[in-house]
Amino acid sequence: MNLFPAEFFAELARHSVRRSHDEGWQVCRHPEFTTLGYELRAWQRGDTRRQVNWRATARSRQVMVRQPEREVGGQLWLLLDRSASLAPQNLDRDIAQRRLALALAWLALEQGASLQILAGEQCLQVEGWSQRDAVRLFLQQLPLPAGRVAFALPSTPLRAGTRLHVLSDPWFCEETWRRDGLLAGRWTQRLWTCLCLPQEHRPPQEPLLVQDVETGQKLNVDLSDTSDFARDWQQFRKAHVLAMQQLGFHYQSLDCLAAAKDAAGILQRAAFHHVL
Amino acid sequence: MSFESPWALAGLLLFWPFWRWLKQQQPQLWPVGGLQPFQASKVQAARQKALRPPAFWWLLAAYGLACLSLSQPRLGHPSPLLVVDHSRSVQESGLEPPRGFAEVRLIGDWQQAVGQKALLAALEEVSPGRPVVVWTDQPPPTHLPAWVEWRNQDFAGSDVGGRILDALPREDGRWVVSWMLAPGQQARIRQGDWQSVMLQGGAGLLEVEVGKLPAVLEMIQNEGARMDQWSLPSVEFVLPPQASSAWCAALQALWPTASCRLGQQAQDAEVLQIWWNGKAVPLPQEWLSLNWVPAPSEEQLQTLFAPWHAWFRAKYPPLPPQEAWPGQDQADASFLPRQGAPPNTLPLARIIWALSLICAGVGWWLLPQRQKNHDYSSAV
Repeated sequence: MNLFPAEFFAELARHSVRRSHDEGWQVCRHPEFTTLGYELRAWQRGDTRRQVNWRATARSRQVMVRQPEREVGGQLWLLLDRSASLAPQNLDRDIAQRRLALALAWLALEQGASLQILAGEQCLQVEGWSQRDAVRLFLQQLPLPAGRVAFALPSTPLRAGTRLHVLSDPWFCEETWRRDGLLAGRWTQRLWTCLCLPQEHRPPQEPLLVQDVETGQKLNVDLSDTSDFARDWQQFRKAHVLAMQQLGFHYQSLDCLAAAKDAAGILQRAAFHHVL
Repeated sequence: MSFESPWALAGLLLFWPFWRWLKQQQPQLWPVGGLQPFQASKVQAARQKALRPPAFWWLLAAYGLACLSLSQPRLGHPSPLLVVDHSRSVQESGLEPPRGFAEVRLIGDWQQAVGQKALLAALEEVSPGRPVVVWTDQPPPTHLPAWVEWRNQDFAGSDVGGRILDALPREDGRWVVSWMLAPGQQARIRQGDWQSVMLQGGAGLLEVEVGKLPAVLEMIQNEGARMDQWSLPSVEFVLPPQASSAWCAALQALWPTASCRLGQQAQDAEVLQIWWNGKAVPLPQEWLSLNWVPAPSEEQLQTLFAPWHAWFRAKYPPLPPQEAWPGQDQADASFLPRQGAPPNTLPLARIIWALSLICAGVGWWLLPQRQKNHDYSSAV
C-alpha cells in the first residue's frame, strides 16, 4: 500500500498556507496576539466562496479571502507512540499516525518552525521547508510498532516557544510517560491526539480471548452481555481524557478507518477537529 | 445391517461446516492494547465449555441421521438381486428390465447365447438367503426355490413357434435364409410381394432372392399372423474420392439397404468408412489395401465380397437356436438351497429420515439469536 498517495497530498495542499508547495509565496506572520485569529490575502485559484471577506474586498477593490492564522516559527516536537498497542490487529492506526505526522510536520516547516520527531527509539531533527522530504523518508522507514512506550530523548534543551504534539492511542499508561520525563518539560502548547480504531469501540459481542499485545497477558471475556463492557469502556476513556487534561494537554480524539481508502479522510477529520 | 446405497455415508465426510462451527464456539483471540476495560466482562475458564449451544449437537445429530438415511440401511435383510438375461434375443425384444434394484448382474451378450443353465450357474454364486429376481425370455427351470423369482412373463408372446435365425447374402446376389419351426407348425417366408413355399416344422435353409428391395423378411402363418421378422441394419459406405459409381453399385448389390457416396477430400479421410446403424465401425482389413480405381474390372469388384461376408458374419452372427428357441435345454434347479430370507418390511430409512427432521427442527429452534453490535464511540 502507498503510504502517502496522491490524494493525501491533494488534501494536504488544501490545508496548507501555500496553495502549491512549489510556489514561492510569502507566509503571512501573525501579529503579537496570544490568540489565533485570521489573516487576509488576495484571492487565489482554489479558494472557496465562503472564504471571501466581502468587506475587505470592498475596501481593497480586489477579492480578499480570510485564512486562519497559524502558529509560526518556534519549535514543534512530534511524539509518536510506537508501542505495540498502536497496531494490535492491523496497521490502520500506524498508517494514520504516519500520515498525520507528515501533515503536521510539513505544515510546521512551511510556517518556519523547526521540527523534532521522536518515534520510539528513532529521532529526527529538521529545519526549513527544503528538508520536508527527509520527514517523509523518516516516516516511511519507521519500524513497525512493537514493545512498550519508550523515547530516546535528545540532549539539547528545549527552546522557548516549543510546542508538543503527541500522536498516541487510547491505551495510555501515565507511569510510562512520567518515567520518560516528557511531560515535565516547559511547553508553550501541549496537544494530545488520540487515534482510535473502530473495533476498539465495537468489539465482537461474543466470547473472546483478549490478549494485551504489550504484556502478553490473556483474559477470557464474554461480551454477549454488553452492559458491563459499555460502562467500563466509557470510564476508561473518560479517565484517559481527564488524565491528559490534568497534565495540561488539549485532548482530541480521531477515528482511524481502513488505511487503504482513508488517506484524505484522516486529514479532513483532523482539520474538522482542529488537530491540523 | 446392510446398506443399499453405502456411498451416501461418504456425506459424513462433509463435516466441515460443523467443524467450523465447533471452532467458532471456541473464543476468538482478540488482540488489544490493554485489559483494563475488559475486567468486568471476565469469565471463568469452566464457563467456556458451556458456550457450545445445544443446537449444535441437535443439528449435528440431524446431519448424521440424514446421511445414514440416504445410505438406505436394511436390518439383516439384503436387498434383492436382479439377474438380467442380456443375450441377443432379449436385446432384440426391445423390452427394458425392471428398475429399482440396487444391484444388477448381466448374463451373456449379443454373441453369447444364454440358457437356463447359464442363469442357474449365476444363481449359485449368490449368497445364501438373498432374494433374486431373474429377468429372461427363457421358461423357468424345474424345482425352482421360493427365493428366486423367475420373470419371463414379459416375453410370453415370443414363443410363437417359429424364428428366422439368419439371412446372409451370396455372391450371386441371392440370399440364404435359415429358419426354425416348432414341430407341427407351418409358415412361409415373405418379403414384400414375394412369398416362399410352405415350410414345415423343423429347421432348414431357404434360398431366396430379395434383389434390390429393402430386405425385411417375415415369417408368417397361414392365417397371415406374423411369427417373426428379420431386417438388415442400415449401412452407409463412404468411398475414397477417387472411387467411382461402379464401386457403389457393387456394394449396394452386396447389401440392399446400403447407401453409398464418395467422400469429400476436406471432410472425409481417404480410406473407406462404414457407418453401421449410424455408428462408424472398423473396416474389413482386406478392403484397406484395395485400389479404388475409377474404372474397376470385374475381378476387382468381386474382391469385395469375401471380406465383406466374413466381416458381416463376425459382426452379425446367426441367431443361436438356443436364443431362437427358449427352453430347449430344460434345466433342473433342485441343486439350489431351498431356504430363502424372509422379506424385509421395516422402512428403516424412512424412520431414520423422520428422526433427522425432528433433530433438525429442534436444533433450529434452539439456535441462539444474534445481538446487534453496539457502538460505544459516543462514550467519549
